[in-house]
Amino acid sequence: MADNKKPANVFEDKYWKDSILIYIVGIILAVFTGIVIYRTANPEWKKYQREFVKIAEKKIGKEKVAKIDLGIRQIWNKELMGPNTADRCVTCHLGVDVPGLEGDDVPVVFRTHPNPNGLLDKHPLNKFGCTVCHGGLPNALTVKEAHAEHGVRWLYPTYTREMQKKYKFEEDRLVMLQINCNQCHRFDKDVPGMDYINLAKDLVVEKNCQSCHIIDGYGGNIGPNLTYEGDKSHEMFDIHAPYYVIKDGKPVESGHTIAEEMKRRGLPYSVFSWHILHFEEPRSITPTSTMPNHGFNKDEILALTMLVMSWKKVNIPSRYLSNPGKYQMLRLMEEGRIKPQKIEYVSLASTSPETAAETTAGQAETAEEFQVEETAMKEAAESSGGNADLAAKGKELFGTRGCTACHTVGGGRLVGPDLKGVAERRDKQWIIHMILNPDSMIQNDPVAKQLFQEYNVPMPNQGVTPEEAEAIYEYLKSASK
Amino acid sequence: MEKLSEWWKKLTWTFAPSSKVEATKAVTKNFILHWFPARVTYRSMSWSYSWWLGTVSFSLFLILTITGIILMFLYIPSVERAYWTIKDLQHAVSFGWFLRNMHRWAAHLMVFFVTLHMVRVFFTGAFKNGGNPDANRPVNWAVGMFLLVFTLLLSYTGYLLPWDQLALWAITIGANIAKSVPVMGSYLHFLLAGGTRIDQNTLIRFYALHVIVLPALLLVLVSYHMWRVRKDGGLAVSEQYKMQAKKEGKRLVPDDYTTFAIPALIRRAFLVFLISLGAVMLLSIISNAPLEEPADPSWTPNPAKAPWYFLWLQELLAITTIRTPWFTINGGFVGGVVIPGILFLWGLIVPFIDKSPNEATGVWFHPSRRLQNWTFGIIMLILAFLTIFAMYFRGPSWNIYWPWAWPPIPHLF
Repeated sequence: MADNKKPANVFEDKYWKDSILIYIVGIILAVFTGIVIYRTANPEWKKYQREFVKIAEKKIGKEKVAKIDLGIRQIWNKELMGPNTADRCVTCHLGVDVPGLEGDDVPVVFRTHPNPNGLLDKHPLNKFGCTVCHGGLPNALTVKEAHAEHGVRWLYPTYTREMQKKYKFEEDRLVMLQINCNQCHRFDKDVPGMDYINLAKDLVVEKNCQSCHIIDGYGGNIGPNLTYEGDKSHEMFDIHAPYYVIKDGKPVESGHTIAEEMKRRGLPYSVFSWHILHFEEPRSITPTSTMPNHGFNKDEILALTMLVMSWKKVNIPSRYLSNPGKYQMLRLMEEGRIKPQKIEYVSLASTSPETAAETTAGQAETAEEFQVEETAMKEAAESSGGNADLAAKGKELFGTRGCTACHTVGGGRLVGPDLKGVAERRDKQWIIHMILNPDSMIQNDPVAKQLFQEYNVPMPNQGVTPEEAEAIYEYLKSASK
Repeated sequence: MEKLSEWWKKLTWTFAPSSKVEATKAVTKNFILHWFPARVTYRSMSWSYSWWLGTVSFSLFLILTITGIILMFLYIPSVERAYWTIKDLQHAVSFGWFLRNMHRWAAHLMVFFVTLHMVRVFFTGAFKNGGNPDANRPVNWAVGMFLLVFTLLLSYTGYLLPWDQLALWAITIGANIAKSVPVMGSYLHFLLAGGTRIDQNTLIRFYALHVIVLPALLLVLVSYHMWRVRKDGGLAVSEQYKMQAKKEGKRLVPDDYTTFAIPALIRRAFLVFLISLGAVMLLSIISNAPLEEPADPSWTPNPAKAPWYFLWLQELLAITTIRTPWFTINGGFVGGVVIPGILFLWGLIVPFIDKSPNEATGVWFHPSRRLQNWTFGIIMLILAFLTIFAMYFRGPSWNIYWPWAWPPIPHLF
């Protein structure tokens, strides 16, 4: 072109250094891209799969290992897990369903899943997956996230032996996952393999927790409703409130907070720890609590904590629930479609559709039975006299019907008055009425009214039958002497 | 063959012009590059005048568009599924973690850089026409203010999409601020949430706003913004050449103060894009985007905080709420509506009330604009302080704590 000859039109690139910068930045970007590709191509789980193949080939032979699919693996049961989540645990835990990888020479990660009491026969792995029992974050593929270790934002971490050590379980078995068993086995008792929860359920009956607390939709109103205690948000537990110690039977501020108490004992800051402290001495957390100290031992405290934390609203298809009818009953009670009533737990062995129906029917009839029993009481009252056998029975009932939670006989005042000499202070009719119908007594009887004002805790109706009340009276009479 | 290469030459343009004519043609022949002028002043090219913050912002917008479109193939806007599609991005989708991190980081950076861009324009007096009768920079400044609002809204609507606790409660707080607008507050909240609470209807609304409505508006507005820059005679600093020439009584010759957009401007813009991309990539490699527990309306995290760029609002709200034993004055109106409203209106009209001389156009901290700069600087410092204070010093129950002395919140186990 002609223009090119004129010097005025010669183009001069004053910013040529930018080109060099572009190359430099380009190289840096290439490095970054390399890092990104490397990271995507080498996820954490591949390392575990390589390790598994090495170990498994030695143990069960190359042929069998070759049959195992590698890559991202998952157990997905849409019915149980919903459309969104799948348990990808088996991507690393490749050996769970491979027989022959038992034994201590195989690292725990790769071991065959044990099958105590035929557990896996009833809960096949390919249907139930892992997190439903073990906890943890489904879908995740890194150890930290999948196990929901500390710092991962997921409420339900995998139950591990390390966690059990923190809470001072003296067990080498994994027991905390019984919390999850109880999601589906809530209304069963004596379930094989659920020893902690079984123990706790026995304690609930023995101490008659339902006299003060609503549990399974039924019970007294003195304490909080515990039906879904496990659903209570962790943010609702104020661990920065003062911690109290009991001195001369009275709670005194210890000078430090609940959180500090947890720290002193090496317990994690958690709801689980809160329940442990609370079961140990309710008034150390809430000084005004009327809940008595039941003197639970360490195992009982852990078992009860596990039980209350297992009480959650479940959203599981009914065919996965043991005793779905009872879950249904609880729902109907909540919706106010049936009268609140005690849901009896059934021994797992005896659970069959027929027996379940019988127990449900039996409960609905209690009102009629009550009428019959009342007549029986009157008869019994007429023929009463000092009776050593009856007193012995009464003594037993005094323990099992939850009376000891609030009363002693000659042991001093607890939540309620000391009952030593009560047979002399009050007449028989009054005592029997107080045992059978405390609510109406507190409302109508002047003496009961006065007692309520003094003690501030209404005596709950313990569901004692008239014969039992008679026996308890006999015991109180004999013990008063 | 000869013909083919001739055709190719006609369709494309050169990045290494050998003549000025070729350099000019490279721009005028190209549709996209028509945004740019053929020539650009040397001072506009300088790093230290503009810091290229507008270009950085637009680069981030490009990164967001590209990563966002890919994410649309992987995300399901449903309250049941949204959270788990994000979890899958993190764990199972190839490059999913990187895509999400890029999108998150670019979004945060865009809010930050658009704000910085505004600060730069103010301190350099770049919304002034500088005696140029053809320029209308105050309008472009106002367009910029709306672009900032759109950027905030884009980031805010995107905040909800993961449907985790962070998302749900940050959006709840934001929506409650809208509720405190007098008279129409609750209607506004209803409109925004698609109901009385943040739920599926809100999610689908925010999704539609986030992926199409707001980006489209932003793209239209940003195109106008850039086109205006060109029509206003380039960056404000260019006016300095004309003023100087006038003072010295010289005639301005283009070659004395300008160079060609190709390659200088285009190349440097590309360089800025690459640097922005590199920064986003680096941040994405070293830091993962957060994902908290799945959204749970029955459980409020303590403390629940708005997205960081609205934290100054939340803090204002908290400190303008006055509680006495007799009455409570809700800070929602004063802190959430009046103060930000005044700030925004002041921002819109400030070019018209700024009576500084033409010499102050396109100059950092010109002495004649001391009052304006101090006012603006102090406002920005207060906002930054409120943000940082709310971010690090507000603990559970919105009480004041040292950042390292937050009381522990119990876990379940």
